[in-house]
Formats: sequence, structure tokens, C-alpha cells
Amino acid sequence: MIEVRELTKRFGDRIAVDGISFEVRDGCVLALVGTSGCGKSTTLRMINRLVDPSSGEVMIDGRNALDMPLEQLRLGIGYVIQGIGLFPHWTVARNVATVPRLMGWERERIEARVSELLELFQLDPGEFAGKYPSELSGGQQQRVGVARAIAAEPAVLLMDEPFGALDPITRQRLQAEFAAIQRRRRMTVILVTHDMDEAFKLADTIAVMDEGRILQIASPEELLREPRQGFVRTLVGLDDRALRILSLHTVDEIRREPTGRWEVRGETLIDRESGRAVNGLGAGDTLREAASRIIWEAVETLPVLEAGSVVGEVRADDVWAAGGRRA
Amino acid sequence: MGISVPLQRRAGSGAPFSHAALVYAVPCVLALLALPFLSFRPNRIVSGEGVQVWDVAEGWGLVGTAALFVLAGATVLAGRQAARALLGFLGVALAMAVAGAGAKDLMADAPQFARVSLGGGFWLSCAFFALAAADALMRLDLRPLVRLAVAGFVAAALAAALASGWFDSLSLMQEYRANADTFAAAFRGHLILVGGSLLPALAIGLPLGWLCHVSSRARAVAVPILNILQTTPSIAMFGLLMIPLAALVAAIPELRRFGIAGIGVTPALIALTLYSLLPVVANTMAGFRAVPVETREAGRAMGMTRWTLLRQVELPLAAPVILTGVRIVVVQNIGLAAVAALIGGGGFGTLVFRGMGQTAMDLVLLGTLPIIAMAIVATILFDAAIDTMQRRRP
Ligand SMILES: Nc1ncnc2c1ncn2[C@@H]1O[C@H](COP(=O)(O)OP(=O)(O)OP(=O)(O)O)[C@@H](O)[C@H]1O
Ligand SMILES: [Mg+2]
Repeated sequence: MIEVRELTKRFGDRIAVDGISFEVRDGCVLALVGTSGCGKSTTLRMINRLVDPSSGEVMIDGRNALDMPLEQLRLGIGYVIQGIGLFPHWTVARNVATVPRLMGWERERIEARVSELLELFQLDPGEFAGKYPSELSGGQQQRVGVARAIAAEPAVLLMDEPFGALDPITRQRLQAEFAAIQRRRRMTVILVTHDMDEAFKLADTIAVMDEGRILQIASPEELLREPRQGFVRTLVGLDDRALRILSLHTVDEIRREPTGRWEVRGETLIDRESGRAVNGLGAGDTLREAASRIIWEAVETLPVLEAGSVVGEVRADDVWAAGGRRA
Repeated sequence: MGISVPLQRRAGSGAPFSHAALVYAVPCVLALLALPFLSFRPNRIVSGEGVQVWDVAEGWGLVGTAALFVLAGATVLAGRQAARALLGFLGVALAMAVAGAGAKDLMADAPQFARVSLGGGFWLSCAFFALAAADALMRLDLRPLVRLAVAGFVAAALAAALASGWFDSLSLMQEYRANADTFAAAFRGHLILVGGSLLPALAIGLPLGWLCHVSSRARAVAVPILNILQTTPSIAMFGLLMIPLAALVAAIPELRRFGIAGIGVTPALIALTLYSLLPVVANTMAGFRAVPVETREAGRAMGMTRWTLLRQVELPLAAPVILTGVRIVVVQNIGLAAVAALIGGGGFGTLVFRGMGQTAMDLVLLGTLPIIAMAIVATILFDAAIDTMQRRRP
């Protein structure tokens, strides 16, 4: 649990962070979004005290961060730095091992952990462990940066644009990898990003910052349904909010009992009413995907498949209702 | 750099004709044609008469000249840099062999006090052959260990040649035999001056450089002072140090027991140390400054203490630049230490100044050549170390 109260940072006359407060419950992800220079990094850096707050306090699991020994505080907080910041004179393995070594783990345990992490991020240990950062692509470096941050299984993880400067496909894969790890390990995460889609995808709560203040802090859905006037509305974007809301929900949430309409014939699935072959949805697909398929196939209903058999169906009306304004 | 090196290499190894090599071969041939190769003097201090390379010892002269010209031409025409390097070294070896044979021949029926010195033709042709070899080796871009092996081989060959007695008729070797004890003492003295000033320079310079890196106030005070020290002429520095030291010893005579005095090794060591500070401090600062901010921040954020960060991250990353500063200091002090002889500090300067006093140029050379050799050896060793460090992380 991270609690931030009235946190303020002045650089000379300039206020970089202006009395912000929020809390992140255990195992939750908070995304800090906002334009360049609005104070996101400074906020993160005050939490692990790379920057000393001008006023306000940071509580981590009920303890005041300002009262904790600096190194002990930081060893317990994973940090993915903006700009990656790998140690150029160390191999990938040595980079990932940084915090475990500082914490004095035994060698076998460190080696096992490094291999496990590299595999987790799809970097073959045999190939990558001995490489130097300059021999890696940008995306590989970012993965090593994230692996290094979570190497000692910190309860708290701060990430400053961890997936920036990546092509969309690599970014989506890394985001998915990260989401899976985060759920499994139940880390408490603060994620800084410029990318609203990333925030919607990964965060339980989103804080929109501008000029050092938090303008709105809410769940992704609430932010989409009720964005405050002004900057938040510009940032969130109203044009495709229905689709964005749909992408927050899964087919499972609105699926109904299947009617007798679907018939499995060998490998294919037939819609008896139209006589056409259809592709079913997966229970974990987002409603955005469901909507896209419904529109593309020009149908009113699609079956939900699980392990080859029909377990339910999704109706277009239900999808539209899920993404629409609430009365 | 990254682009120009492969280009050069391609031009050097593929082309049958090297324009760069002309820069060395043409002056080499001109020097052999225009300047005397040896000079013969009836005794040690009168001025000598020149002997052209083709006039030296019967047989050796003409054949040797022809061979030298062929070698010079071959360095230009050689297809490979490795071949050019080898030809350059062969040129040096041949010039030395001819000089040794010529001296032996001239001295065979000469009066007892006659001397044979090396002439401008010898020195310049040797220098240009050596430059051609060095240039070719540089373009080969050898790995540090290979470079050290080549240097070691050349040094061993040189030592064996000097020990063989082939050059014993040269005045330079006669001076060496007459001054062997002084030479050994001068060598020891020179090492003491260079090593003895390097240690305190590092002990003061490294922490001071780090301090100047972290504190702009320290930088504002220290750097101008070090700049002034660096630009003080060496003779003035040696002289100025004598005064306070002499006063100190006069006040506390017990210091004499530790070898401290107004003249001698102490002021020389202090002066060399002072000259070393600016390069060490400046390069230490530059090395630390070159550590990327994100790297430093990452280290702090991971929970490194300031000391751990310094030891594990900042120092290793700054090391190549710092070592470059140390190399500058060592080479600079090998040269400057010669001046220390003026205030009784020992070293090869002793031979140089004694030779000047006696107008015996070969004695001067006996002091100068080892200084040059030491500087070359230091450069090769440090460059190999710096290169190894940088290659380990591509
Ligand atoms: N060490 C510092 N000294 C002075 N000003 C600073 C310092 N660090 C940050 N600032 C200023 O504080 C403001 C907020 O900076 P911060 O790095 O937190 O922005 P950010 O939201 O992370 O931006 P970006 O998205 O570009 O990374 C900026 O105006 C910046 O110039
Ligand atoms: Mg930032």
C-alpha cells in the first residue's frame, strides 16, 4: 500500500509537483498520465527519494518513507528508469542481478533467478545472459530494464515509461507479459506513461496530471464515462470512448446461455438460422473484439466457444449497452 | 572513427601502392642521399667529417645502400600493412647493421682516441623506417595482446643486437661502456622520479578529481591553481621549490635524516607531482562526467550506497579516461624528469647535462635515447591497457 499525501516539489521558483495525494492498494496498478513536464517522473522519484519532497509525505505499508534508511527503502522498491539506464559495463545477467547481489543473495539463487527472469521476458539466457547492453535492441534493453527492476521480487514497483520508444507490436507483447507477471506476483505498481491505451490496458486506477496537479483520479471506466471538463477530456478523447469502454470488459461478463441455434459439424460451427459457418468468440476476448466481429459478420449474435464446444452466446444489443451511456 | 578505420584498412591491404607510405619513404631516401650516415673524428671532442652511406665499409656500403633503397621502395609498394610493418622494421635493422659494420671498419686502423658517431642520414632513415612500421601497425588495428607481443619481440631483438658486440665500435657504445655505472644509476633514478611522483599524484589527484566532479566550488578553486602550476616553466618550478625546502630543512634539521633537502630528489619529486596533478584531475573529472546520468540514477534507485555506486559503476566507467590521464602524466614526467638533474635529482638528465658540459654529443644521446625508449614503452603499455578495458565491453 502506497499513500501519498499533499506531496509537493519546488525547483527554485518552479513548482514541479503541486500538493498531490493518492493511494495505491496492494496488488493494484496506478497509472500516472499527462503531457511532458507535468511532474510524473518527479512524483515517482519522490517515492523512492531520488528527489526529496519540498513538503508532504509518502507512506509505504504504513511507514513514512522519509524515516526509512535510504538504501533499505530503495532495495524494497523496483524502479524502471525513464531511458532504461542499464549499466553499460555489465552483462545482461549482471544487470538483472544488481539488486539480488546488493541484498547478498547466494550465487546459485541469483543465477537461477536471472535465468528465470530472462526466460519470462523471452530472452534466451544462453544467448543473452553474456551480452552487453550495447549489443541489444531497444526493446530487448527495455525488457532487461524491467527484469532488473523486479529481480528481487519487490512489493512495490515504480515504472517510468517502461515501454516507450517501442514499435506497437513489441509494446503490446511486453504489456501483456508484464500484466501476467504483475497479476501473478501481486506487485503494487505505479506506472508513468504518455500512452492512454497503455494506461487503460494495465491500470486499475488512472491519475491524470497537468502542471504538477492531479486533475482527476478514477478507474479507467469512470474516466471514460465521466471525464472532467478541459484537459482530462482532451487527453482521454471522446471520439472512441465507447470502443475504449468495450475494451475494458470481456465476453464472459455479458454472455448468455446458448440457444439451440449453434451446431457443431466436425471442425466448423454452423448458424442454423442463416445456414452460414461462423467463428466463435473466446470467453476472454474483449467486448471491443466482439463488437468488431459482430459488425464485420453483420450478425446479431455470436457463439462463445470454450475447448471446441459452445458455452454461451453474445448478443449485439448487450454489447452496445455495455459500451453505451448509462441512463 | 568507426567508418574511417575500415576504409583505411581496405585501401591499405588492397591497393598495390600506398600514398601514405610515400610520406615516409621519400624523406628516408632523401636523407640517405643528402646527409652523412656516419661521422668520423680523430678524437672525442673535435668535429667530425661525414661518411656517406655508400662509402662505409667495403662491400657493406654499396650493397647496403641498394638494399635500403629497395626496402624504402618496398614499403610503398607492399600490398599488405603487415608486410609494410615488417619491411619498416627490416629497414631499421639494416640501417643499424650497416652503421655497426661501418664503425667497425673505420675504427680498425684509427688512432686510439678516434670516434665514430651516427650521422643525420642514419637517424633520419631509421626514424622514417620506424614511422612507416608504426603507421602500418596502427592501421592493422591489432588486438592489445598481439601489439604487446610485437613490441616485446622488437625490444628483445634490439637488446640482443646491442649485446652482440656488433655496435661496440660506435662512440655511443663506447660512452656506454665508460659510463655503465652512471647509466645504471641514472636509469634507477629516472624510474624513482617517474614512479615516485606518480603515486602521490594519483593519491592526491584521483580524490581531488572526484571532489571537483561533485562540487563546483572545489572545481572553481582547484582547476585555476592547477592550471597555473601546469604552465609554470619547469626550470622555474624546480628553482622555486628549492627555496622553501631549503628553509624548511634549515628550520628542522632532523628532516635531513629522511633525505629531504633543498636540492636533490625531494624538490624534483614534488615538482613532478605538481605537474601531474592537472592531467590526473582533469581526466578524472572528464571520466566521471562521461558516466551517463541515467546509469548513475539507476544505481542510486537500485539502492546502491554512494560508495558502492562509486566503486562498482562510476569508477569502472570512468577508468579508461582516467587511465588516459595517467598515461599523459607518465609520458610527460619521463620527459620532464630529465630536467631534475639540474637540481641534483638524478635520472638520465645527469648524462645529458654532463655530455653538454663536455660537448660530447654521444653522451647526450646516451641520456636522451633511453628517455625516448621509456616514453615509447609507457605509451605502448598504457594504450594496451586502455584498449583492453574498452574492448571488454563493446
Ligand atoms: N532536477 C531538476 N531541477 C530543476 N527542474 C527540474 C528537475 N527535474 C525536473 N524538473 C522540472 O520539473 C518539471 C517536471 O519534470 P518531470 O521530469 O517530473 O516531468 P515528466 O512529467 O516526467 O515529463 P516527461 O513525460 O517528459 O518525462 C519539468 O518542468 C522539469 O523541467
Ligand atoms: Mg518523465
